Parts: sequence; C-alpha cells; structure tokens
Amino acid sequence: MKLIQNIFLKITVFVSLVFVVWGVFFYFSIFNEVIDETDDILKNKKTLIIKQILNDPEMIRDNDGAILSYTVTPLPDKKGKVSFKDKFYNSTRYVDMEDEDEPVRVLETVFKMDDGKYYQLRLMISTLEQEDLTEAIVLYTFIMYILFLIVTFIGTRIILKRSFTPIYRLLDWLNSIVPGKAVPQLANPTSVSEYNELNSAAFKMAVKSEKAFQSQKEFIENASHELQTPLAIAMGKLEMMIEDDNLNDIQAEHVGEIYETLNRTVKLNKSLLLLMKIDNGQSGDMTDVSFNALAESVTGDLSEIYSYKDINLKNDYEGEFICHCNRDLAVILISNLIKNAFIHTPPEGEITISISDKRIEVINRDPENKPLDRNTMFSRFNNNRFASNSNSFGLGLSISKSIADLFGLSLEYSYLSGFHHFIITKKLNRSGNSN
Amino acid sequence: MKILVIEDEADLRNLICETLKKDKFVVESAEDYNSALEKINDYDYDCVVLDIMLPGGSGLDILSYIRDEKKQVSVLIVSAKDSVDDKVKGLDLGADDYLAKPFHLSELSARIKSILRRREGNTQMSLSFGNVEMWPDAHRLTVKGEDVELNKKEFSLLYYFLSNPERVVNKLTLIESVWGDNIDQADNFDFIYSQIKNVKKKLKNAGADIDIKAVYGFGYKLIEL
Repeated sequence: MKLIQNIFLKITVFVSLVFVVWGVFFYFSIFNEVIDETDDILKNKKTLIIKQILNDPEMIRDNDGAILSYTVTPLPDKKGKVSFKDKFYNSTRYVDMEDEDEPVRVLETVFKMDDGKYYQLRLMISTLEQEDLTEAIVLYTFIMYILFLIVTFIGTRIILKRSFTPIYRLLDWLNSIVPGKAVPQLANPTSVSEYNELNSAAFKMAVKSEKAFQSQKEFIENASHELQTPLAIAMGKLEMMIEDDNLNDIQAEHVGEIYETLNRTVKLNKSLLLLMKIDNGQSGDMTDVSFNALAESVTGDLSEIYSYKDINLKNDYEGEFICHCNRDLAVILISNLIKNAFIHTPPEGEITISISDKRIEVINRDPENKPLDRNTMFSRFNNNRFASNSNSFGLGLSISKSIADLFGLSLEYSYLSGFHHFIITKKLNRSGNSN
Repeated sequence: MKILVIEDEADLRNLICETLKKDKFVVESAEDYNSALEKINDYDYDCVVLDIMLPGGSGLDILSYIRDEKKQVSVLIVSAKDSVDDKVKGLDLGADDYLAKPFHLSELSARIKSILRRREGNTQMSLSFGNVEMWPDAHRLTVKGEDVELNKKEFSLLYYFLSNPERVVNKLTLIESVWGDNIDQADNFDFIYSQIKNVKKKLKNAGADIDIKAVYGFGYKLIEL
C-alpha cells in the first residue's frame, strides 16, 4: 500500500469515527435540549393553570386543546403520602381528528385546593413538532457528515499528494541509481527542512556507497588481474618442467595434476572476471545475434564430444530467436545451458531444444527424477547436483543468469514430470541493454 | 626470425624467452617502456610480444609508435587485462593477435608462428616436421608428398602439434585449441584421446616418420621416429 493511501485510509477511518461519535453526541444534546424546553413550557403552563384554579374553583375541569390539554382529577385522601413533585414522561394521546395516537410529553403534578382536597393535574403537550425537528436534525447532520467527509477526503488527498511529492521524487531518483555507474544529479527542490535533510543524506550515502562499490570492484578486478601473471608464470614453469627428460612417470603425473589444478584456478579467475564484467554492465559490442545459429553450432560440438552417450537430440526450431546483444556473451549463455543438459543426461537420454522467435527452451530428463533447488540454482558457488563435477564451480548457471539479465532476457527454470526446462524469454521492458 | 619480448615481470619474460629460443627464434627482451622503444628504434624485429601494462608507459603507445613508424613488424599483445576494450583497442591499433594472460606457452608459440606465417607474402608458408608438411590456410596436409585427408578437428589437433614439435602439449591446451574457451569439460579428454588415435592411425597408414606420443598424466608430444 502506498504511504499516501495508508495515511489517507487512517485519516478517513479516524475522521469517520470522530464524526459518528460527534453526530450521536450532537443528536442527543439537541434532543435533550428540546425536551428541556418542552418541560419548561409544561412547568410554566402548570403554574398558570394551578393559579387560575386556585382563584376560581370553577376552572376544575378538563381542557382538550390541540396542542396543550390537561385533566384534573381529585385524589382520594392519603395524607402525608402525597408527593408534590413534578413527574415528566413521554406518552401518546388519541386524536379524534386524525384517528391516531400522537406522541405527547406529560407533566403530572399534585396540588391542594383551599378546602384541603388534593387534585392531580395531568398536562399533555404534543411533541409532533419535536419529532419533525429531530428528523430534520438527523437529516442535516447526516448531509453535513457526508459533505464533511468528502471535503476531508479531497482535502487530505491533495495535501498529502503535495506534501509527499519530494518523497516520490527522491524514490525515483534512488531507483535510478545503478551500482557501478555515476550517481545521477538529484533535483528535488523543497522548502521542507526534513526533506532537504533527507535529500542531502540520500545523496551523500549514494556517493559514498558508489565509492565503496567502485573501490571494492577495483580491488577484486585488480586482485584477479594481478593473479594472472603469477598463474602464467607457474603454468609456464610446469610446461618447461615437463620437457625435462629426467622426470619419471610419477613426477610427470604430479606435474600434470598441478597443471590441471592451476588451470582450474585460471578458469575460476576468468569466470570471476567475466561475472565482474557482466555485473559492471560492460557488454562489449552489440549486434543482432541469432540464437538458432549459436545453438546449432554449440550442439554440433557437444554432440561430437558426447557421441559416446548416444543422446537423442531433438531440434525444434519454430522461429528465429534474435536478440541485440554481445555475441561472445550470448555464446556463453546458451552453451552453459546446453552443456549442462548434455552432461546431466544419462546415456541414450533425450534433449530437446525448442526455439521460437520469443523463447528458447532447453529440456532434458533428470536421471534422479528430482527438481533442482530453484532458490539456489542461480547463485554463485552453489553446490547443487549440477555443480558436482570437479571441473565446475557452480558458476555456469549464475553466469548465464547474469548474462540474461544484462541483455534484458529472462532465464527461468521449471520442472515438469521428470524434465528440467530452462527457458529464455524476452522481457517486455528491455532496459538492461542500454549499453 | 628475431623476436622482441616486452614484459616487465622477470619470471614470465624469462619463460617466454626460453620457450621461444627452443623454437629456434632469436630472442631479445625489454623490461620497460623506454628500453622497449630504444630497442625497437635501434634494431629490426620480425615480431614483438607486447605486454600492455608496463613501467613507464602503456604497451598500446608502443604499438601506435610501431604502426606510425610503419615498421613491418608483427605484434602479439599479451595482457593480463582480459577486457574486451583492450583487445579491441589493440587490434584496432594494428596488433596481429591478442593473448590473454595466463596462457599456455605452447599456445604462445603457436600464435607467434601463425602470425609470422600470415605476414605479407608468407600465407603460403607451410609447417613441416619429418616427412609431414601442412599448409594451415589451405587446409592441406601431405605425407611424403602425398595428400592425406583429415577432418576439421583432427586437422586442428595436428596443426597444434606441428606448431609445437618435440614439445609436450597439455591435454587442456589441446581442448582449448580445438573447441575454444567455452567447452572445457573433463569428458573432452576421451574425445581428444580418440581423435589423437585417429590422427596417429592416419599418419602411420600414410607412412609418416612422426608420431604423437602420450606423456603420462600430462598430455602428448609430437616426435620424430
């Protein structure tokens, strides 16, 4: 989830809740206020009516007004137990004219006439208007609630978007940094001091890590290069040594073993330099390379070497896979995959190489019927079964993967009912081959 | 044939000189930029083996100097920098070949012989040993003056041996010379073995007085019977 959406969602939930609580509180406050007001009217009327009745006992009779009505009923003698306290409650009253009950607010009180008799006065006031009022309040509260929410949504969105623009610009910039290439200019003007600090911190860090990357790269490169000359000397000396006729067979064999070991070191060193070169994005001369032709020449060589295995090779060329890339690296990419297939296919096994204009697939059966570990197969110095050969360092697939990435190709592995599938496809976004 | 070896690393320089002397070349050496330029100015060489990183200057500058002076000398660049850039730059400046360190000494002498053969007017030059003669560019081989057919791989193998007669050549070197750098599996040993067997048979049947002898645990050697 984006930061803006995240904050927006939180604000929205918070504001909505606050508004709901406020709405409920507002409704009840108004409602109570209205009831208070009604009760005050009832009290005033009560005082008025009782005064009238005390002045004129003739007035002891019921009154049935449209809005206000009252009943006066004499109470049986219950001295000492009479409560003069006013009692308010809600009730309904039957209205003839409309033939229905309408809500009323009732005030019940007791008063004593001069003759010592107690009467109960029951005042009723219609609260129909009050209901209307309540409805109006609810409606307007609700409308206001919605309006407020909409305004808040739009407002926060705009504010957030404006406030976060520098962050997104910074992110874009960070994403544009490629290890091994010069740190790009950072143009992210803002008046917010934190953003400015962030900008300068990010820029400083990028420059620093670029420097660290460069020096580490140079170190490995130099170390690998510096190794070449001593290795050349050691190998040359051994070649000289083997010419010596005084060597006996055992000594000659030892020299041979040392020579082969040195040769492996040379290969490893070369692989490292190659990986370094690829990782640096140095792809050399780019031309349109037909992988069909490459696959054909590689399978030709390998078929010869592995002719004793009697492998059934199927070439399924539906179309021509052409990629704008460096030819030498393309050879390494494709030959590593096909070589693996040849090495790991048992005698009289089957290898299928299918090529169309969009994908290359190298398929071979696994003798042990086990898929490869997808998580580690492309990592360097991975000791999987494919790397069990003493002549291999587990760098082959990793190199292929790096080359594929460099050329904007995708190299994937899948395992289908006993068959390894190595699949090269063209990625839609080929940003990796700009150099 | 006179060769100048320009290499700053003493051990490697001596090795190269020694191996080239065995090939009956007249070899001189220089260890830095200035002494190399002096020697190139003072003497005529047929071929220069040139390291790129030298004390006092770049081997590439020596190369441009050689080409500017239009010296008819072949140049083989030998560099520890296995980068495409250097290779392209070197070849653009007029180097005849490029060999990345570390290399097999037998590969070095094969390359130098090939360069010298390719020099103007020398493309018809043949390699010969015993009663066997080979014209690499015409893909032709004769034994006692009679043509012998070899397939491509067998031809490459024998070419390598003829470039390094009486020298022990490592199996791995042979594999690289026949297949290039990208196919380097131990399985190849069997293939090389069977190819060499074929070559030996063809040589013997044609009545050649040379043979390829196995050097136990290391490789093979072309010998005169």
